[in-house]
Order: sequence, then structure tokens, then C-alpha cells
Amino acid sequence: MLGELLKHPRALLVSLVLHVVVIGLIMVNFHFAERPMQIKAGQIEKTVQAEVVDQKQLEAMENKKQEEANKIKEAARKKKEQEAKKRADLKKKEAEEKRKAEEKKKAELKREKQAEEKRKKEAERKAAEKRKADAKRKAEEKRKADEKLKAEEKRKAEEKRVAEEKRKAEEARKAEEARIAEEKRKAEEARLAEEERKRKETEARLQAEAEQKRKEAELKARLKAEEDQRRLKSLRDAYILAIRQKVERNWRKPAGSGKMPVCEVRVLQGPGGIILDVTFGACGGSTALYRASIEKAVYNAEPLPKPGDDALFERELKFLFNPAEQ
Amino acid sequence: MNDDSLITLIFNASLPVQLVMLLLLAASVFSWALMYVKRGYIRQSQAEAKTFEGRFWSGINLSDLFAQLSVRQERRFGLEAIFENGFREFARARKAELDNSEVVRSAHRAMKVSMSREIESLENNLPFLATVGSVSPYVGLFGTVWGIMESFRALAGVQQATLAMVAPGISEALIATAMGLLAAIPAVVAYNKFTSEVDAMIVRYENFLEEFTGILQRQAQSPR
Repeated sequence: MLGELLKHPRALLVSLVLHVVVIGLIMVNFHFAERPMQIKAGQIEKTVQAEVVDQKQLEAMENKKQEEANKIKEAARKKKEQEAKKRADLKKKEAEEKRKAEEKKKAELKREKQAEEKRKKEAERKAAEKRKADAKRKAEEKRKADEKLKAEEKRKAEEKRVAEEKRKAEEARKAEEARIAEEKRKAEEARLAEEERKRKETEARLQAEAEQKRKEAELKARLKAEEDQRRLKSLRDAYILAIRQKVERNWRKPAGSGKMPVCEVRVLQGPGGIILDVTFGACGGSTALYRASIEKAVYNAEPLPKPGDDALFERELKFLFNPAEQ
Repeated sequence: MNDDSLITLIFNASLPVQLVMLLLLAASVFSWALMYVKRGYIRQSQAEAKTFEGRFWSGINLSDLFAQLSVRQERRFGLEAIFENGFREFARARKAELDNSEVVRSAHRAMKVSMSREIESLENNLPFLATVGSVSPYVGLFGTVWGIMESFRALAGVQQATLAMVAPGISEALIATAMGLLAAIPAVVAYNKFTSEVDAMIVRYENFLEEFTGILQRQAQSPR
């Protein structure tokens, strides 16, 4: 078995590749398929820990808890009172100190106010002098700026005018160009349409011609086939006739005078016209003697004549045997 | 055991189970290769028989046909081989001036021998497919049983047994059965198909042999 397979390494290779592919597909599928309900180890240990507890023990524990709570509450209350007293003392002291500081602050403020007023008057005076000088300078500056502005405006107007002229000229040029382009485009379109039309015409003509040719070829082929068929048919008729005549030539009229009708004879022949078997079809009212004579005639006619064309050879031949034609 | 890919499952299996899997894989690979070869050969034989029958019954002279075949160098098989051997024996016996019935009988014998050779090469290796088809499920089952035994034995040492402890072992053991079935099913299908095709070919050869013998018989009776 192995030896035979080693003679066909291709088969072994094909089989191996097939297996690798199938196994790969199974692997991929196995990876993607969801694993059904896997129980994780942690989940099992996480069960609830329950204990049985006595009711009385539970009540005693409860009472004890209550007493402890009361004690804690009392201590807290006492501590609170002491703290409140301390806080009140502290507050009084603070108020006294605050009042003294306030008085001192007021006296300080009064002194500062007087000094401030004096300083203010001095500053106002100085400011008035400065304002006058400023006004004068500003007037001068404004005049100069006005002059400059006027010159600028004039220049701008001039520029604008020139730009406007230029723009108008440009627009006119563009319009002209667009018009020319449009004309060109239309001409091109017309040309293309014309070409398309011509192309279609030629196409249609070519198609029609091809169709015509095809039809002619078809007709020719059909005629040829018919011709071949006719030729084959005539050859076949000749073939059958040759066989029939040879059989009839070899026929000897049997003794006695029974009915001798036309018989359908079926001959099974092998290569080279060897006769393998003879049977009879419709052979109304014939005697066995008559049929035996025909069979003998067929065997005597061996080898049967060859057909004009090898394609016409038939394993099973059928022909009508007519004794009157002998 | 969290990584549950098939590969890790197979590599974690115990040695006997792995051996079983390997055996089954090899059986599957070989049976598919064999199917490929066999299918090719049967197709070729069918095509050959068809063309040769066409030629034989085309009305060609038998000695011409024999001459055409003898010229060809390549090895002949199928109907060609049967025809050639039969006709050669026929010609030889005829030359030896043997009795007519003896001539036909010796030709028939030669053809019988040739035919049985052809049948043998058609049926060659088919038993391997039958064996794979019938045995590999059992081999796979053996692997599975072994794997399950192992996983239960491992379970014996533990106090608290959970399903999670046995499940991977059983899963990996079941792969062996799956592989066994995977190897067996195509082998059985192919075996059935091939045997029926080979039987049809045998009938064809036998028919040809009988017909050809009849022709030879007729030819022997005609004058030399």
C-alpha cells in the first residue's frame, strides 16, 4: 500500500494539504465558538458562611450593647457643658480688646485725611498747568494730521478711479473670451454629435453585414450537412442493398413448396463482417425450413460486404429478404 | 486549563491517547491519498474501455486493430490488454494448425488470465480503505476509553470532586473518537463507490470477453 502511494507523491501531497486545511478550519472554529458554561474555580469557594445562633444569647448581647451606649451618651453631655462655659469667657475678653483697637484706628484716620487734602490741592494745580500745554500741542498735531489725511484721500480717489477703469476693461475682455469659448464649444459638440452619428451608422452597417454573412454561413453549413446526410444515406442504402443481394445470391430454394413471404432478417455482425447471430423479425406464415434456408444463406454470405464509409458500420443490421428478387 | 484551544487539549493528552490520535491521522491521510490515486485509475480505465469499444465496433479489421495496438510502445491495460493477449494467442494457435475449438479455447484462456490481471489492478488497495473504514472508529473509541479512565483515576485522589476537574479530560479523550469517525466515514463512502465502479468494469470486461470469443470462433471456422 505504502509503495503504491510513494509512486504517487502528488496524491500524498494533496491528501496532506487537505488535512492541514481541515484541521486549521476546525481549530479556528473551536477558538471562536463560545465555550458552554464553564464553571470557574473561584465561584465555588464563594459560598455563604452561615452559623446557628442561640436566641437568649442574642438578647443578652443586645442589652449589654444598650447600656454601653447610655454611658457613652452621659459622658458626652458633661463634656459639652464645660466647653460652652470656656467659650463664653473667651468671647468677653475679645470684645474689650476689639473696642480699644477701634478707637486708636479712628485717630489715625483723621490725621491721614488732613495730609491727603493738602497733597490733593498741590496736585490739582500742577495738573492745570500741564493741561494747558497739552491742549496747545494737540491743536498743532491735529492740524498737521488733517493736512496729511486730505492728501491721502485725494491719492486714494485717484487710485480707485484707475482701478475701476482697469476692471471694466478686464470684464469686457473676459466676456469676449467667454463668448468665443462658448462658440467653440458648440462647434465641437456639433462635430462630436456628427461623428457619433456616423460611427453608429457604420456600426449598424457592419452589424448588418456580419448578420448577413452569418446567415449565409449557416445556410451553407446546413446545406452541407444535408448533403452529407444525403450522401451517407445513399451510401447506407447501397450498403444494405449489397448485403441483401449477397445474401439473396447465396440463397438456395428449399425443397418442397411452402409459403415464401418477404422476411425481415436481423444480423448481428462483428468486426470484418463476421456473422455472430441471425434472427428473424416479421416473417408472416413462413415455415421453419424456409427460415433455415435464409439463415444458411446469410452464413454463406460471410464475410458481409464493407460499407463505403467506416462510420456506417452497424453491429446490428436489419434488411428485408425477398425471395422473388432472386 | 483555562486555555481551551484544541491544540493544547491534544498536547495535554496522555501518551496512549496521543498515539491513537497520531495513528488515526496517519490512517486518514493515507486513505485520502489512496482515494485520489484509485479514483484516477478507475476514471482512466473507464475512459480507455469506452474508446477501445468504440474502435473495436467501428468495423475495423481485427488484424489491423491488432497491428495498430502492437506498434504502440506504452504499457497496455484494460480492454486493450485483454484484446491483444487474446488475439496474439489466437494467431499463434492458428499458425500451429491446432483444432478450431482448441484455437478458440486457448485464446479464451489467455484472455481470462489477462482479465483477471486487470481486475486485480483495479481492486488493488481497496481492502485498505475497507480496513480504515471499519477499524478506525474502534481505535478512536479505545483512545477515548483510555482518556476517560485516566481522568477518573486522577479524580480518585481528591476529596471534593467537581465537574470542572473531569470535564477537560473527557473532552480531550472524546477528540480521539471524533478523529476515528472522521477517518472512517470518507473511507467507507469511497470503498462502496469504488467497489461498485470496479464491479461495473468487471461486467464490462466479461461481456467484451464473451463477445470477442464468439467473433474468434466465427473467424476460426472461416478458411485460413
